[in-house]
Amino acid sequence: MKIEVLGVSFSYDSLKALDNVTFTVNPGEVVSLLGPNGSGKTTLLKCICNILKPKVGVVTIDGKNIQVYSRADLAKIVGYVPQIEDSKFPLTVFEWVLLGRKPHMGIAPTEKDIEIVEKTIKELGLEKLAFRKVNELSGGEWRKAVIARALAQQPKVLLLDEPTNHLDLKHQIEVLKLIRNLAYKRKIAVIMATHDINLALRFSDKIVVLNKGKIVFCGFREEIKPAILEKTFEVKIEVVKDSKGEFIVIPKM
Amino acid sequence: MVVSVCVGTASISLSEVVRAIVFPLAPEKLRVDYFAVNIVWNLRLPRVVMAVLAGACFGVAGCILQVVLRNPLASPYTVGVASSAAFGAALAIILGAGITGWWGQVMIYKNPYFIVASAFAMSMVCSLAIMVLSFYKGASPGTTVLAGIAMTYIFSALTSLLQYFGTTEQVAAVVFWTFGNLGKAGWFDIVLTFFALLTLAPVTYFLSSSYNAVLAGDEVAASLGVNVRALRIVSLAMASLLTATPISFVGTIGFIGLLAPHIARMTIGSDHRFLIPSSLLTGSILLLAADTIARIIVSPLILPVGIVTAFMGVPLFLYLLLTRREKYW
Repeated sequence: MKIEVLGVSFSYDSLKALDNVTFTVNPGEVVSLLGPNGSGKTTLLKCICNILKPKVGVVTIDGKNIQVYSRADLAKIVGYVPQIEDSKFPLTVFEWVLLGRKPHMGIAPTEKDIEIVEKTIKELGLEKLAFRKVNELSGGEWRKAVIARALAQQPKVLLLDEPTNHLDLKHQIEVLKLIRNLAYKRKIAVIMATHDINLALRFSDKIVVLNKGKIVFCGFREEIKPAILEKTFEVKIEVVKDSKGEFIVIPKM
Repeated sequence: MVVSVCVGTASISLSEVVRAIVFPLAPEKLRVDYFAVNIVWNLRLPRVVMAVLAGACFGVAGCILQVVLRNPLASPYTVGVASSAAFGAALAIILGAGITGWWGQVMIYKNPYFIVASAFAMSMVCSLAIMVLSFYKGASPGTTVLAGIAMTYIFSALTSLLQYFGTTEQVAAVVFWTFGNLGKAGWFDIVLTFFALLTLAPVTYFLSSSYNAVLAGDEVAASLGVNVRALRIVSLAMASLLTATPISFVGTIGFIGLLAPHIARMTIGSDHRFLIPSSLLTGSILLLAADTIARIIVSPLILPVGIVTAFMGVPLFLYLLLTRREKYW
Protein backbone atom coordinates (compact mmCIF):
# COMPACT_ATOMS: atom_id res chain seq x y z
CA MET A 1 0.00 0.00 0.00
CA LYS A 2 1.09 3.53 -0.67
CA ILE A 3 1.84 5.80 2.27
CA GLU A 4 1.72 9.56 1.95
CA VAL A 5 2.94 11.78 4.74
CA LEU A 6 1.55 15.24 3.99
CA GLY A 7 2.78 18.32 5.83
CA VAL A 8 2.99 16.56 9.21
CA SER A 9 4.05 18.66 12.21
CA PHE A 10 4.19 17.40 15.77
CA SER A 11 5.26 18.96 19.07
CA TYR A 12 5.75 17.52 22.52
CA ASP A 13 4.29 20.44 24.49
CA SER A 14 6.48 23.35 23.39
CA LEU A 15 9.19 21.22 21.83
CA LYS A 16 8.75 20.95 18.08
CA ALA A 17 9.67 17.44 16.96
CA LEU A 18 8.41 17.40 13.37
CA ASP A 19 8.06 20.38 11.08
CA ASN A 20 6.06 20.10 7.87
CA VAL A 21 7.27 16.64 6.87
CA THR A 22 6.13 15.42 3.45
CA PHE A 23 7.16 12.31 1.55
CA THR A 24 5.68 9.27 -0.19
CA VAL A 25 6.46 5.57 0.03
CA ASN A 26 5.23 3.27 -2.73
CA PRO A 27 4.29 -0.38 -2.24
CA GLY A 28 7.36 -2.62 -2.29
CA GLU A 29 9.68 0.29 -1.50
CA VAL A 30 12.10 0.42 1.42
CA VAL A 31 12.72 3.92 2.78
CA SER A 32 15.35 4.66 5.42
CA LEU A 33 15.06 7.56 7.81
CA LEU A 34 18.46 8.96 8.70
CA GLY A 35 19.26 11.73 11.11
CA PRO A 36 21.06 12.54 14.34
CA ASN A 37 19.60 11.73 17.76
CA GLY A 38 16.47 13.71 18.47
CA SER A 39 15.87 14.57 14.82
CA GLY A 40 12.31 13.18 14.93
CA LYS A 41 12.69 9.74 13.34
CA THR A 42 10.86 7.85 16.06
CA THR A 43 8.20 10.55 16.37
CA LEU A 44 7.58 10.31 12.64
CA LEU A 45 7.16 6.52 12.79
CA LYS A 46 4.77 6.85 15.73
CA CYS A 47 2.71 9.40 13.79
CA ILE A 48 2.49 7.02 10.85
CA CYS A 49 1.11 4.19 13.01
CA ASN A 50 -1.24 6.58 14.84
CA ILE A 51 0.32 6.14 18.28
CA LEU A 52 0.93 9.90 18.17
CA LYS A 53 -1.57 12.15 16.45
CA PRO A 54 0.03 14.96 14.42
CA LYS A 55 -1.14 18.49 15.22
CA VAL A 56 -0.97 19.55 11.60
CA GLY A 57 -0.97 17.49 8.42
CA VAL A 58 -2.18 14.01 7.61
CA VAL A 59 -0.85 10.55 6.95
CA THR A 60 -2.74 8.57 4.33
CA ILE A 61 -2.59 4.92 3.35
CA ASP A 62 -3.82 4.35 -0.20
CA GLY A 63 -5.29 7.82 -0.12
CA LYS A 64 -7.29 7.22 3.07
CA ASN A 65 -6.50 9.26 6.19
CA ILE A 66 -5.26 6.91 8.94
CA GLN A 67 -7.42 8.74 11.50
CA VAL A 68 -10.44 7.26 9.73
CA TYR A 69 -9.31 3.70 10.42
CA SER A 70 -10.24 2.10 13.72
CA ARG A 71 -7.26 0.97 15.78
CA ALA A 72 -8.09 -2.66 15.09
CA ASP A 73 -8.37 -2.11 11.32
CA LEU A 74 -5.15 -0.12 11.19
CA ALA A 75 -3.39 -2.96 13.03
CA LYS A 76 -4.31 -5.31 10.18
CA ILE A 77 -2.35 -3.08 7.78
CA VAL A 78 0.48 -1.48 9.77
CA GLY A 79 3.16 -3.40 11.67
CA TYR A 80 5.45 -1.58 14.08
CA VAL A 81 8.76 -2.57 15.67
CA PRO A 82 9.63 -0.08 18.43
CA GLN A 83 13.14 1.06 19.19
CA ILE A 84 13.20 -0.56 22.62
CA GLU A 85 10.85 -3.19 23.87
CA ASP A 86 11.74 -3.69 27.47
CA SER A 87 8.89 -5.55 29.09
CA LYS A 88 9.76 -9.20 28.81
CA PHE A 89 7.07 -11.40 30.26
CA PRO A 90 7.91 -15.08 30.21
CA LEU A 91 5.94 -15.95 27.12
CA THR A 92 7.67 -18.35 24.73
CA VAL A 93 9.05 -17.00 21.46
CA PHE A 94 6.17 -18.78 19.74
CA GLU A 95 3.58 -17.06 21.92
CA TRP A 96 5.35 -13.73 21.43
CA VAL A 97 5.25 -14.04 17.65
CA LEU A 98 1.64 -15.16 17.92
CA LEU A 99 0.82 -11.76 19.47
CA GLY A 100 1.33 -10.42 15.96
CA ARG A 101 -1.74 -12.35 14.84
CA LYS A 102 -3.87 -10.51 17.41
CA PRO A 103 -5.42 -8.07 14.89
CA HIS A 104 -6.50 -10.98 12.69
CA MET A 105 -7.83 -13.43 15.25
CA GLY A 106 -10.54 -13.76 17.86
CA ILE A 107 -9.82 -15.20 21.31
CA ALA A 108 -8.04 -18.31 20.09
CA PRO A 109 -5.68 -18.57 17.11
CA THR A 110 -6.84 -20.58 14.10
CA GLU A 111 -4.71 -23.15 12.28
CA LYS A 112 -3.88 -20.51 9.70
CA ASP A 113 -2.54 -18.20 12.42
CA ILE A 114 -0.36 -21.00 13.79
CA GLU A 115 0.89 -21.78 10.27
CA ILE A 116 1.86 -18.16 9.64
CA VAL A 117 3.66 -17.97 12.98
CA GLU A 118 5.59 -21.18 12.23
CA LYS A 119 6.57 -19.87 8.81
CA THR A 120 7.73 -16.53 10.19
CA ILE A 121 9.78 -18.20 12.90
CA LYS A 122 11.49 -20.29 10.23
CA GLU A 123 12.14 -17.27 8.02
CA LEU A 124 13.99 -15.59 10.86
CA GLY A 125 15.83 -18.77 11.83
CA LEU A 126 14.30 -18.87 15.31
CA GLU A 127 13.14 -22.51 15.14
CA LYS A 128 15.49 -23.68 17.86
CA LEU A 129 14.33 -20.93 20.17
CA ALA A 130 10.60 -21.28 19.48
CA PHE A 131 9.80 -22.70 22.91
CA ARG A 132 12.34 -20.73 24.90
CA LYS A 133 11.02 -17.99 27.15
CA VAL A 134 11.64 -14.52 25.72
CA ASN A 135 13.10 -13.28 29.01
CA GLU A 136 15.92 -15.81 28.59
CA LEU A 137 16.96 -14.62 25.13
CA SER A 138 20.05 -12.62 24.23
CA GLY A 139 19.56 -9.06 22.99
CA GLY A 140 19.91 -10.06 19.34
CA GLU A 141 17.63 -13.10 19.57
CA TRP A 142 15.07 -10.94 21.32
CA ARG A 143 15.26 -8.33 18.56
CA LYS A 144 14.58 -11.01 15.97
CA ALA A 145 11.59 -12.27 17.95
CA VAL A 146 10.18 -8.73 17.98
CA ILE A 147 10.70 -8.38 14.23
CA ALA A 148 9.11 -11.81 13.74
CA ARG A 149 6.04 -10.60 15.61
CA ALA A 150 5.67 -7.62 13.29
CA LEU A 151 6.09 -9.86 10.24
CA ALA A 152 3.53 -12.37 11.53
CA GLN A 153 1.09 -9.50 11.50
CA GLN A 154 1.44 -9.69 7.69
CA PRO A 155 1.28 -5.93 7.38
CA LYS A 156 1.10 -3.96 4.17
CA VAL A 157 3.06 -1.18 5.81
CA LEU A 158 6.01 -2.02 8.03
CA LEU A 159 7.57 0.54 10.37
CA LEU A 160 10.90 -0.39 11.91
CA ASP A 161 12.64 1.71 14.53
CA GLU A 162 16.31 0.77 14.46
CA PRO A 163 15.62 -2.84 13.51
CA THR A 164 19.29 -3.80 13.60
CA ASN A 165 19.80 -2.72 17.21
CA HIS A 166 21.58 -5.48 19.19
CA LEU A 167 22.09 -7.60 16.08
CA ASP A 168 25.56 -8.76 15.07
CA LEU A 169 26.82 -8.12 11.54
CA LYS A 170 25.60 -11.44 10.13
CA HIS A 171 22.12 -11.05 11.57
CA GLN A 172 21.89 -7.39 10.56
CA ILE A 173 22.40 -8.40 6.95
CA GLU A 174 20.16 -11.47 7.24
CA VAL A 175 17.26 -9.51 8.71
CA LEU A 176 17.53 -6.60 6.30
CA LYS A 177 17.79 -8.96 3.31
CA LEU A 178 14.66 -10.75 4.47
CA ILE A 179 12.76 -7.50 4.94
CA ARG A 180 13.90 -6.23 1.56
CA ASN A 181 12.78 -9.46 -0.17
CA LEU A 182 9.44 -9.52 1.62
CA ALA A 183 8.88 -5.90 0.66
CA TYR A 184 9.32 -6.80 -3.01
CA LYS A 185 7.36 -10.03 -2.84
CA ARG A 186 4.38 -8.88 -0.81
CA LYS A 187 4.45 -5.25 -1.96
CA ILE A 188 4.98 -4.00 1.59
CA ALA A 189 5.89 -0.35 2.06
CA VAL A 190 8.76 -0.34 4.57
CA ILE A 191 9.98 2.68 6.53
CA MET A 192 12.91 2.16 8.84
CA ALA A 193 14.74 4.54 11.11
CA THR A 194 18.40 3.71 11.42
CA HIS A 195 21.77 5.08 12.46
CA ASP A 196 23.72 2.85 10.12
CA ILE A 197 24.22 4.93 7.00
CA ASN A 198 25.90 2.12 5.07
CA LEU A 199 23.17 -0.42 5.73
CA ALA A 200 20.60 2.23 4.84
CA LEU A 201 22.36 2.94 1.54
CA ARG A 202 22.64 -0.73 0.70
CA PHE A 203 19.15 -1.95 1.60
CA SER A 204 16.82 0.91 0.79
CA ASP A 205 15.41 2.46 -2.35
CA LYS A 206 14.93 5.90 -0.93
CA ILE A 207 16.54 7.87 1.84
CA VAL A 208 14.91 10.57 3.94
CA VAL A 209 17.29 12.65 6.03
CA LEU A 210 15.77 14.48 8.97
CA ASN A 211 17.40 17.22 10.99
CA LYS A 212 15.63 19.00 13.86
CA GLY A 213 12.28 17.73 12.63
CA LYS A 214 12.72 18.97 9.06
CA ILE A 215 13.43 16.98 5.94
CA VAL A 216 16.81 18.02 4.55
CA PHE A 217 16.98 15.35 1.88
CA CYS A 218 14.42 13.04 0.30
CA GLY A 219 15.26 11.01 -2.76
CA PHE A 220 16.82 7.91 -4.27
CA ARG A 221 19.87 6.60 -2.50
CA GLU A 222 22.14 7.35 -5.49
CA GLU A 223 21.28 11.02 -5.28
CA ILE A 224 22.41 11.70 -1.75
CA LYS A 225 25.38 14.07 -1.47
CA PRO A 226 28.09 13.70 1.18
CA ALA A 227 27.72 17.38 1.99
CA ILE A 228 24.14 16.79 3.23
CA LEU A 229 25.27 14.02 5.57
CA GLU A 230 28.24 16.08 6.76
CA LYS A 231 26.04 19.02 7.60
CA THR A 232 23.35 16.90 9.27
CA PHE A 233 25.60 14.72 11.39
CA GLU A 234 28.26 17.41 11.96
CA VAL A 235 31.11 15.08 11.04
CA LYS A 236 33.50 15.05 8.11
CA ILE A 237 32.94 11.98 5.97
CA GLU A 238 34.67 10.23 3.12
CA VAL A 239 32.81 8.28 0.46
CA VAL A 240 34.63 5.35 -1.11
CA LYS A 241 33.57 2.69 -3.60
CA ASP A 242 33.87 -0.99 -2.67
CA SER A 243 34.84 -3.73 -5.17
CA LYS A 244 31.21 -4.07 -6.32
CA GLY A 245 30.86 -0.37 -6.93
CA GLU A 246 28.70 0.25 -3.85
CA PHE A 247 29.30 3.48 -1.97
CA ILE A 248 30.62 3.24 1.56
CA VAL A 249 30.54 6.17 3.96
CA ILE A 250 33.46 6.45 6.35
CA PRO A 251 33.61 9.14 9.03
CA LYS A 252 36.90 11.06 9.20
CA MET A 253 38.47 11.26 12.64
CA MET B 1 -16.22 -28.39 48.74
CA VAL B 2 -18.19 -31.23 50.27
CA VAL B 3 -15.36 -32.06 52.62
CA SER B 4 -15.20 -28.43 53.63
CA VAL B 5 -18.89 -28.55 54.46
CA CYS B 6 -18.26 -31.57 56.72
CA VAL B 7 -15.68 -30.01 58.98
CA GLY B 8 -16.36 -27.46 61.65
CA THR B 9 -17.44 -27.14 65.24
CA ALA B 10 -20.11 -29.81 64.83
CA SER B 11 -18.75 -32.54 62.64
CA ILE B 12 -21.17 -34.05 60.22
CA SER B 13 -20.39 -37.18 58.25
CA LEU B 14 -19.87 -37.06 54.51
CA SER B 15 -22.99 -39.04 53.72
CA GLU B 16 -25.05 -36.85 56.01
CA VAL B 17 -23.79 -33.77 54.22
CA VAL B 18 -24.64 -35.19 50.82
CA ARG B 19 -28.08 -36.18 52.03
CA ALA B 20 -28.59 -32.77 53.61
CA ILE B 21 -27.59 -31.00 50.41
CA VAL B 22 -29.99 -32.95 48.21
CA PHE B 23 -32.66 -32.95 50.90
CA PRO B 24 -34.77 -30.11 49.45
CA LEU B 25 -35.03 -32.01 46.16
CA ALA B 26 -36.79 -34.95 47.73
CA PRO B 27 -37.85 -34.13 51.30
CA GLU B 28 -40.20 -37.14 51.57
CA LYS B 29 -37.78 -39.82 50.49
CA LEU B 30 -34.72 -38.94 52.56
CA ARG B 31 -34.35 -39.56 56.24
CA VAL B 32 -32.12 -36.80 57.50
CA ASP B 33 -31.30 -35.19 60.76
CA TYR B 34 -32.92 -31.73 60.65
CA PHE B 35 -30.10 -30.44 62.78
CA ALA B 36 -27.66 -31.43 60.02
CA VAL B 37 -29.85 -29.94 57.30
CA ASN B 38 -29.99 -26.72 59.22
CA ILE B 39 -26.23 -26.53 59.74
CA VAL B 40 -25.47 -27.46 56.15
CA TRP B 41 -27.92 -25.14 54.45
CA ASN B 42 -27.79 -22.18 56.78
CA LEU B 43 -24.26 -22.20 58.14
CA ARG B 44 -21.80 -24.29 56.21
CA LEU B 45 -22.96 -24.27 52.61
CA PRO B 46 -23.34 -20.47 52.23
CA ARG B 47 -19.91 -20.08 53.73
CA VAL B 48 -18.30 -22.60 51.41
CA VAL B 49 -20.06 -21.33 48.31
CA MET B 50 -19.15 -17.75 49.20
CA ALA B 51 -15.52 -18.77 49.73
CA VAL B 52 -15.43 -20.31 46.27
CA LEU B 53 -17.14 -17.35 44.60
CA ALA B 54 -15.25 -14.63 46.45
CA GLY B 55 -11.92 -16.40 45.86
CA ALA B 56 -12.75 -16.61 42.17
CA CYS B 57 -13.63 -12.91 42.03
CA PHE B 58 -10.41 -11.91 43.79
CA GLY B 59 -8.33 -14.18 41.55
CA VAL B 60 -9.72 -12.72 38.32
CA ALA B 61 -9.61 -9.13 39.60
CA GLY B 62 -5.98 -9.48 40.72
CA CYS B 63 -5.00 -11.12 37.46
CA ILE B 64 -6.35 -8.39 35.20
CA LEU B 65 -5.07 -5.58 37.43
CA GLN B 66 -1.55 -7.01 37.48
CA VAL B 67 -1.44 -7.05 33.71
CA VAL B 68 -3.06 -3.69 32.93
CA LEU B 69 -1.01 -1.93 35.61
CA ARG B 70 2.00 -4.05 34.64
CA ASN B 71 2.82 -4.29 38.31
CA PRO B 72 3.43 -7.51 40.25
CA LEU B 73 2.32 -5.81 43.46
CA ALA B 74 -1.05 -4.84 42.06
CA SER B 75 -4.06 -6.43 43.65
CA PRO B 76 -7.66 -5.34 44.07
CA TYR B 77 -6.44 -3.46 47.12
CA THR B 78 -3.87 -1.43 45.20
CA VAL B 79 -6.76 0.47 43.68
CA GLY B 80 -8.10 1.36 47.09
CA VAL B 81 -11.13 -0.92 47.08
CA ALA B 82 -10.44 -2.44 50.48
CA SER B 83 -9.76 0.72 52.44
CA SER B 84 -12.69 2.55 50.88
CA ALA B 85 -15.04 -0.35 51.61
CA ALA B 86 -13.74 -0.43 55.18
CA PHE B 87 -14.42 3.30 55.41
CA GLY B 88 -17.94 2.75 54.09
CA ALA B 89 -18.55 0.06 56.68
CA ALA B 90 -17.09 2.22 59.46
CA LEU B 91 -19.26 5.11 58.34
CA ALA B 92 -22.33 2.94 58.57
CA ILE B 93 -21.35 1.44 61.90
CA ILE B 94 -20.19 4.60 63.67
CA LEU B 95 -21.94 7.56 62.09
CA GLY B 96 -25.11 5.66 61.30
CA ALA B 97 -25.46 4.74 64.93
CA GLY B 98 -24.25 8.14 66.12
CA ILE B 99 -26.67 10.21 64.12
CA THR B 100 -29.77 8.12 64.46
CA GLY B 101 -29.10 6.88 67.95
CA TRP B 102 -31.30 4.06 69.08
CA TRP B 103 -33.10 3.86 65.78
CA GLY B 104 -29.80 3.63 63.95
CA GLN B 105 -28.70 0.73 66.10
CA VAL B 106 -31.88 -1.09 65.33
CA MET B 107 -31.53 -0.35 61.69
CA ILE B 108 -27.99 -1.67 61.58
CA TYR B 109 -28.65 -4.81 63.53
CA LYS B 110 -31.94 -5.50 61.86
CA ASN B 111 -30.65 -4.49 58.47
CA PRO B 112 -27.02 -5.41 57.91
CA TYR B 113 -27.42 -4.31 54.32
CA PHE B 114 -26.95 -0.76 55.47
CA ILE B 115 -23.28 -1.56 56.08
CA VAL B 116 -23.08 -3.54 52.85
CA ALA B 117 -24.55 -0.72 50.79
CA SER B 118 -22.33 1.87 52.42
CA ALA B 119 -19.18 -0.24 51.90
CA PHE B 120 -20.08 -0.88 48.28
CA ALA B 121 -20.93 2.76 47.59
CA MET B 122 -17.65 3.97 49.07
CA SER B 123 -15.56 1.51 47.08
CA MET B 124 -17.32 2.65 43.92
CA VAL B 125 -16.63 6.29 44.79
CA CYS B 126 -12.97 5.41 45.26
CA SER B 127 -12.72 3.44 42.01
CA LEU B 128 -14.40 6.23 40.10
CA ALA B 129 -12.00 8.77 41.56
CA ILE B 130 -9.04 6.64 40.51
CA MET B 131 -10.45 6.11 37.04
CA VAL B 132 -11.07 9.82 36.55
CA LEU B 133 -7.61 10.74 37.86
CA SER B 134 -5.80 8.22 35.72
CA PHE B 135 -7.93 9.03 32.68
CA TYR B 136 -6.86 12.67 32.87
CA LYS B 137 -3.23 11.68 33.03
CA GLY B 138 -3.43 9.28 30.10
CA ALA B 139 -4.09 6.17 32.22
CA SER B 140 -0.44 5.16 32.51
CA PRO B 141 0.22 2.28 34.93
CA GLY B 142 2.34 4.46 37.21
CA THR B 143 -0.28 7.19 37.68
CA THR B 144 -3.01 4.67 38.29
CA VAL B 145 -1.05 2.84 40.98
CA LEU B 146 -0.11 6.13 42.64
CA ALA B 147 -3.70 7.37 42.50
CA GLY B 148 -4.77 4.07 44.06
CA ILE B 149 -2.25 4.38 46.86
CA ALA B 150 -3.26 7.99 47.50
CA MET B 151 -6.90 6.90 47.78
CA THR B 152 -5.96 4.05 50.11
CA TYR B 153 -4.28 6.51 52.46
CA ILE B 154 -7.13 9.00 52.36
CA PHE B 155 -9.72 6.35 53.17
CA SER B 156 -7.57 4.76 55.88
CA ALA B 157 -7.17 8.18 57.47
CA LEU B 158 -10.89 8.78 57.29
CA THR B 159 -11.55 5.40 58.90
CA SER B 160 -9.08 6.20 61.68
CA LEU B 161 -10.78 9.54 62.19
CA LEU B 162 -14.15 7.83 62.57
CA GLN B 163 -12.68 5.26 64.93
CA TYR B 164 -11.22 8.06 67.03
CA PHE B 165 -14.72 9.38 67.63
CA GLY B 166 -16.43 6.00 67.92
CA THR B 167 -17.29 4.10 71.09
CA THR B 168 -15.33 1.01 72.05
CA GLU B 169 -18.06 -1.30 70.76
CA GLN B 170 -18.27 0.52 67.48
CA VAL B 171 -14.52 0.46 66.98
CA ALA B 172 -14.51 -3.25 67.77
CA ALA B 173 -17.25 -3.79 65.19
CA VAL B 174 -15.24 -1.87 62.56
CA VAL B 175 -12.07 -3.82 63.32
CA PHE B 176 -13.97 -7.09 63.21
CA TRP B 177 -15.43 -6.10 59.85
CA THR B 178 -11.94 -5.53 58.42
CA PHE B 179 -10.88 -9.06 59.43
CA GLY B 180 -13.26 -10.52 56.91
CA ASN B 181 -15.75 -13.18 57.87
CA LEU B 182 -17.27 -15.56 55.38
CA GLY B 183 -19.81 -16.60 57.99
CA LYS B 184 -21.74 -13.40 57.31
CA ALA B 185 -22.67 -14.52 53.81
CA GLY B 186 -26.31 -15.29 53.13
CA TRP B 187 -27.84 -16.80 50.03
CA PHE B 188 -28.88 -13.42 48.67
CA ASP B 189 -25.27 -12.19 48.92
CA ILE B 190 -24.13 -15.32 47.17
CA VAL B 191 -26.54 -14.80 44.28
CA LEU B 192 -25.32 -11.23 43.80
CA THR B 193 -21.65 -12.25 43.93
CA PHE B 194 -22.33 -15.11 41.55
CA PHE B 195 -24.04 -12.69 39.19
CA ALA B 196 -21.01 -10.35 39.25
CA LEU B 197 -18.67 -13.24 38.54
CA LEU B 198 -20.92 -14.70 35.86
CA THR B 199 -21.15 -11.45 33.92
CA LEU B 200 -17.60 -10.12 34.33
CA ALA B 201 -15.37 -13.22 34.22
CA PRO B 202 -16.41 -14.10 30.63
CA VAL B 203 -15.70 -10.50 29.59
CA THR B 204 -12.18 -10.72 30.99
CA TYR B 205 -11.71 -14.02 29.17
CA PHE B 206 -12.97 -12.44 25.96
CA LEU B 207 -10.34 -9.71 26.38
CA SER B 208 -7.53 -12.20 27.03
CA SER B 209 -5.78 -11.62 23.70
CA SER B 210 -5.77 -7.87 24.41
CA TYR B 211 -4.24 -8.53 27.83
CA ASN B 212 -1.57 -10.62 26.12
CA ALA B 213 -0.83 -7.72 23.78
CA VAL B 214 -0.47 -5.35 26.73
CA LEU B 215 2.35 -7.60 28.02
CA ALA B 216 4.40 -6.25 25.11
CA GLY B 217 3.99 -2.65 26.29
CA ASP B 218 1.45 0.07 25.61
CA GLU B 219 2.79 1.20 22.26
CA VAL B 220 3.10 -2.27 20.84
CA ALA B 221 -0.38 -3.14 22.11
CA ALA B 222 -1.67 -0.03 20.38
CA SER B 223 0.07 -1.04 17.16
CA LEU B 224 -1.63 -4.44 17.50
CA GLY B 225 -5.02 -2.75 17.57
CA VAL B 226 -5.68 -2.51 21.31
CA ASN B 227 -7.11 0.69 22.76
CA VAL B 228 -4.91 0.51 25.83
CA ARG B 229 -6.43 3.44 27.68
CA ALA B 230 -9.95 2.06 27.34
CA LEU B 231 -8.80 -1.43 28.25
CA ARG B 232 -7.14 -0.11 31.40
CA ILE B 233 -10.20 1.87 32.51
CA VAL B 234 -12.61 -0.99 31.76
CA SER B 235 -10.37 -3.46 33.60
CA LEU B 236 -10.18 -1.14 36.61
CA ALA B 237 -13.97 -0.94 36.65
CA MET B 238 -14.38 -4.70 36.32
CA ALA B 239 -11.79 -5.46 38.99
CA SER B 240 -13.42 -2.95 41.36
CA LEU B 241 -16.83 -4.52 40.88
CA LEU B 242 -15.48 -8.04 41.22
CA THR B 243 -13.79 -7.12 44.49
CA ALA B 244 -16.28 -4.69 45.98
CA THR B 245 -19.22 -7.06 45.60
CA PRO B 246 -17.90 -9.89 47.79
CA ILE B 247 -16.04 -7.73 50.29
CA SER B 248 -19.08 -5.58 50.96
CA PHE B 249 -20.77 -8.74 52.20
CA VAL B 250 -17.94 -10.49 53.98
CA GLY B 251 -15.45 -7.75 54.87
CA THR B 252 -11.92 -7.35 53.57
CA ILE B 253 -10.08 -10.54 52.77
CA GLY B 254 -6.51 -9.86 51.76
CA PHE B 255 -3.79 -11.66 49.82
CA ILE B 256 -5.97 -13.87 47.60
CA GLY B 257 -6.15 -11.23 44.87
CA LEU B 258 -2.40 -10.77 45.02
CA LEU B 259 -1.33 -14.39 45.40
CA ALA B 260 -3.74 -16.36 43.24
CA PRO B 261 -2.63 -14.79 39.93
CA HIS B 262 1.04 -15.19 40.86
CA ILE B 263 0.64 -18.83 41.78
CA ALA B 264 -1.31 -19.42 38.57
CA ARG B 265 1.34 -17.57 36.53
CA MET B 266 4.13 -19.61 38.08
CA THR B 267 2.39 -22.83 37.24
CA ILE B 268 0.90 -22.22 33.81
CA GLY B 269 2.62 -19.16 32.34
CA SER B 270 1.55 -15.73 31.17
CA ASP B 271 -0.90 -16.49 28.36
CA HIS B 272 -4.13 -14.93 29.60
CA ARG B 273 -6.33 -17.39 27.75
CA PHE B 274 -5.20 -19.88 30.37
CA LEU B 275 -4.09 -17.54 33.11
CA ILE B 276 -7.50 -15.95 33.76
CA PRO B 277 -9.38 -19.25 34.29
CA SER B 278 -6.57 -20.67 36.37
CA SER B 279 -6.35 -17.53 38.55
CA LEU B 280 -10.07 -17.92 39.09
CA LEU B 281 -9.66 -21.53 40.18
CA THR B 282 -6.57 -20.83 42.29
CA GLY B 283 -8.40 -18.02 44.07
CA SER B 284 -11.34 -20.31 44.83
CA ILE B 285 -9.17 -23.12 46.10
CA LEU B 286 -7.00 -20.82 48.24
CA LEU B 287 -9.90 -19.09 49.92
CA LEU B 288 -11.83 -22.31 50.48
CA ALA B 289 -8.77 -23.98 51.95
CA ALA B 290 -8.04 -20.96 54.15
CA ASP B 291 -11.60 -20.86 55.42
CA THR B 292 -11.65 -24.59 56.10
CA ILE B 293 -8.47 -24.26 58.11
CA ALA B 294 -9.88 -21.19 59.89
CA ARG B 295 -12.80 -23.29 61.07
CA ILE B 296 -10.86 -26.30 62.33
CA ILE B 297 -7.54 -25.00 63.57
CA VAL B 298 -8.70 -23.76 66.97
CA SER B 299 -12.15 -25.40 66.94
CA PRO B 300 -14.69 -24.62 68.35
CA LEU B 301 -13.46 -21.08 67.75
CA ILE B 302 -13.64 -19.85 64.14
CA LEU B 303 -10.77 -17.59 63.15
CA PRO B 304 -11.44 -14.72 60.74
CA VAL B 305 -10.46 -16.01 57.31
CA GLY B 306 -8.50 -12.86 56.49
CA ILE B 307 -5.91 -13.84 59.10
CA VAL B 308 -5.56 -17.37 57.81
CA THR B 309 -5.17 -16.36 54.15
CA ALA B 310 -2.01 -14.51 55.04
CA PHE B 311 -0.62 -17.24 57.30
CA MET B 312 -1.32 -19.91 54.72
CA GLY B 313 -0.87 -18.03 51.47
CA VAL B 314 2.40 -16.29 52.17
CA PRO B 315 4.49 -19.42 52.95
CA LEU B 316 3.02 -21.12 49.88
CA PHE B 317 3.87 -18.10 47.80
CA LEU B 318 7.40 -17.84 49.16
CA TYR B 319 7.93 -21.54 48.58
CA LEU B 320 6.92 -21.19 44.93
CA LEU B 321 8.96 -18.02 44.54
CA LEU B 322 12.11 -19.63 45.91
CA THR B 323 11.85 -23.01 44.21
CA ARG B 324 11.09 -21.73 40.71
CA ARG B 325 14.24 -21.30 38.72
CA GLU B 326 12.89 -19.34 35.80
CA LYS B 327 12.02 -15.69 36.10
CA TYR B 328 8.29 -15.51 35.82
CA TRP B 329 7.73 -11.76 36.03
